[in-house]
Amino acid sequence: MKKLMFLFLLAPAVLMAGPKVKIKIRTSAICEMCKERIEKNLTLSKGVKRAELDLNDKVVTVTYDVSKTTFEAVKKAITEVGYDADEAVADAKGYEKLPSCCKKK
Amino acid sequence: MKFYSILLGLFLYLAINLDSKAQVISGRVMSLDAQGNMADLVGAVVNHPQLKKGTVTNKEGRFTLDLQGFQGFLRFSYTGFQTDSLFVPTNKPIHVHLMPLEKELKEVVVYAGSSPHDRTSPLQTEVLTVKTLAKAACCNLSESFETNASVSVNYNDAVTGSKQIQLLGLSGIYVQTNTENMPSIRGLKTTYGLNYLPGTWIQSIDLSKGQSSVVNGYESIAGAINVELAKPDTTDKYYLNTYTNSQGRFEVNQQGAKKFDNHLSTGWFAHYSSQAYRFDGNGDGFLDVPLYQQVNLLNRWKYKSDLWMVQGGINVLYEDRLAGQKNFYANSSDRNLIYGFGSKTNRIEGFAKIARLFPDKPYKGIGLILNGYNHDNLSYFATRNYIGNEQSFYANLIYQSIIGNTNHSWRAGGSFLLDNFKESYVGQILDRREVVPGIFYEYTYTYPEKFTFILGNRLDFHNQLGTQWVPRMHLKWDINENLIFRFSSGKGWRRVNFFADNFGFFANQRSLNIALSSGSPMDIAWNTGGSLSYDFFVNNRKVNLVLDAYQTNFEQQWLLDMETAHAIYIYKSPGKSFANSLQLELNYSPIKRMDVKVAYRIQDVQADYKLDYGDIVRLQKPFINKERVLVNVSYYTPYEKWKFDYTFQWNGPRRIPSTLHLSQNADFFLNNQSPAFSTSYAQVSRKFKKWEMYVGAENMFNFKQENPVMYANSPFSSGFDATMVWGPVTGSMFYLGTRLKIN
Repeated sequence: MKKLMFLFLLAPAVLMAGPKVKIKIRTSAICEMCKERIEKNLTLSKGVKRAELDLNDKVVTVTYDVSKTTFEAVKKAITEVGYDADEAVADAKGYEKLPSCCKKK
Repeated sequence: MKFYSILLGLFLYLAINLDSKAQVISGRVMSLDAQGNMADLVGAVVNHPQLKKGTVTNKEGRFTLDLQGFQGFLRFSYTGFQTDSLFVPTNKPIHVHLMPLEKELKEVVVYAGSSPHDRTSPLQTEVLTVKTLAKAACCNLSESFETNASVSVNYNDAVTGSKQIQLLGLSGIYVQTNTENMPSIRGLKTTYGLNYLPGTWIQSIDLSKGQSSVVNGYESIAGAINVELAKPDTTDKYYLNTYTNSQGRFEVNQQGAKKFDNHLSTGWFAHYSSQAYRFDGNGDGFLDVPLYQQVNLLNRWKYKSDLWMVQGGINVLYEDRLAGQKNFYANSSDRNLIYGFGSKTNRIEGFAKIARLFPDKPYKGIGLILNGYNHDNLSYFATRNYIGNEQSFYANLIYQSIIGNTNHSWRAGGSFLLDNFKESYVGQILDRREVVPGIFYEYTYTYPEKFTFILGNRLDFHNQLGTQWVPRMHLKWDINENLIFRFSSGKGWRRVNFFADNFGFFANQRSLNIALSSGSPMDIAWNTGGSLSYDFFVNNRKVNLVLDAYQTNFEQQWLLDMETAHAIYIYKSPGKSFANSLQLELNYSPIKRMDVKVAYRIQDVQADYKLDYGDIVRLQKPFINKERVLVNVSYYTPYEKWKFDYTFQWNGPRRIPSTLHLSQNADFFLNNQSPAFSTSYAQVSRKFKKWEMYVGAENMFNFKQENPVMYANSPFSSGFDATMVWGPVTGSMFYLGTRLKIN
């Protein structure tokens, strides 16, 4: 019964999955909290399979499904929580909400 | 400036990191209060308990610590803040936020790792957080214990839907159930109280086994449950929860909080639920789950400044239940011909909690708790009517301070209870007024990080039952970093509520005989027990093993005796009554984000019963399973995008009162034992940016007790009995729910 239910739940996700790509984006993350905010927002975004930010070089590695989302949308998911993503500048509203330790100065 | 300090910090970190690869942990410790304000903590203690190595943070709140390649838990502590432990798997820079100790009058809950057991409390305490509660649908308090090894939840009968928890082999009336340290499920609320606390209102549940503190009263015997509700200043701005299941139940919870400034905040909580579908899965003509509608509203306010914390609120509840035969209608059916059960509850409750704080002396405090309610219930079991009204007022004043230094602390105060009952059932009237002033004193000796000893005494002056003395002691010994021993012993007592305590057992055609003259109407018991908690590491991952054993001995207990056909006898036990319980629980996280819990419990619960003609016989208490196994496995993907949870329970056989001559299913009753059975639960939830969806199944093996209602086709014959329930009445059930949060 349980297995059936899991299959039922997972089937659409598995069947509809398109090709995946892995990209790297430089962010303005500073600390562990920044890492968590960015990773969490990306992970819960549509089409994103995995997101991992390395605090040493501030680069986030994102794996996503190209049939469900785009490179631009992934970048937007970073800027909307208040961080720069490559050349894209942080969304002002999102930046305002950042805890003081995550702000640039 | 801050920018430069962060730059400097990064530079320092890089420098150190380059210097000694894979050796040194570095990080930053900051405070984080409820408003989200942060500040560097200078001089915070960071240590690795196993390595016995430590350091303090510098004037920028930063630290470095050479762990010589070891992994494990780092402990962060700072005076006035909750100590935190973090698993540090690699040598990445870590950022720790410590929360200030809450100065409310409650025990501070601190925990580490995946084990639900509170490491620091002198009492054997399990903490059920929102995360634990989200493992199952948890529509209300009664469903919150599905994944818990210590508490089981049983239906009393197959008609009324009233539920009782069971702890250490004793029913819920022996567990003091408080909401925010105010008496909650007691008096007339005992019947459906567990259903009257919606799951979304709950912030956390503290479950302590064995005797609890004298500060909260005399009524705890087997243990205590304290439910903390969501606080208006820390909860989500808006929260919407919906739930619907395959048996026709629907629930919606809507709640919001508003912070006016840093001092004042308010929260609104609204719950509506209903069972509108007449569900009879086993086809015996009786509704398997009662039809009901519940409206439950709470408005609470909180004001806090440096010197004062004031909270107050009001809770209004209305519930209408209907059960019995499937073709029973409250307005049109003849209750002499069709068996019907109805129960209408109206309740209004108000509370206030006032605490005076002393910011320069954090060990000192004065608190006053006030609570009052009016509870009305009108019920009928076919033609037998029940009317109940309770008006209650409770006050508790607590003062706490120290003797010399914080190694010797004490709490003392006084309480007052006024409880006015008006009850009648089938013409029998049991009205009473209880007036109970009481005083208490509790002394705590602490040898920091090694040993805690608590000795409490209270005296209560009951207007009907006289002066009662309650002594209790607790001991906690941290034998070493990984081995904790706890011991508790003490007395508890409670006034018996003949009707409310046994409400569900009235769903039959037995005659009710209460032997009021057999003794004073109170239960008195001593509970003694202890626990051993041991942590060890398998592949660098913590395993927590808890063994606990408790014995409850009744000096006096009122028994519900259903050993005779056609009758219920309620009388004071003519001899002994005791409950022994032993439990072994293992918590382990074998891989990242996966938790496994395995528990085994064995209980021996016996009492002396009176036979018809004066003989006394010692029997196992009915409907209590001697053995139980619980397995819970949960796994979640990063950031809880997907969560999977599975629970398996095995319940051993239990004794059924000897009603052989009544039984339609002689096999079960020949040896007066129910068969053992297993149930399982599963839930999957998926989180999106703003909301969450969960689907689940209960009782997946579809196990049902056959004939939970005896003589279901002739409910007016003397053999009719819906109270011989030992297993699930309904089969598999599926549910779907959503949670939407805006913060």
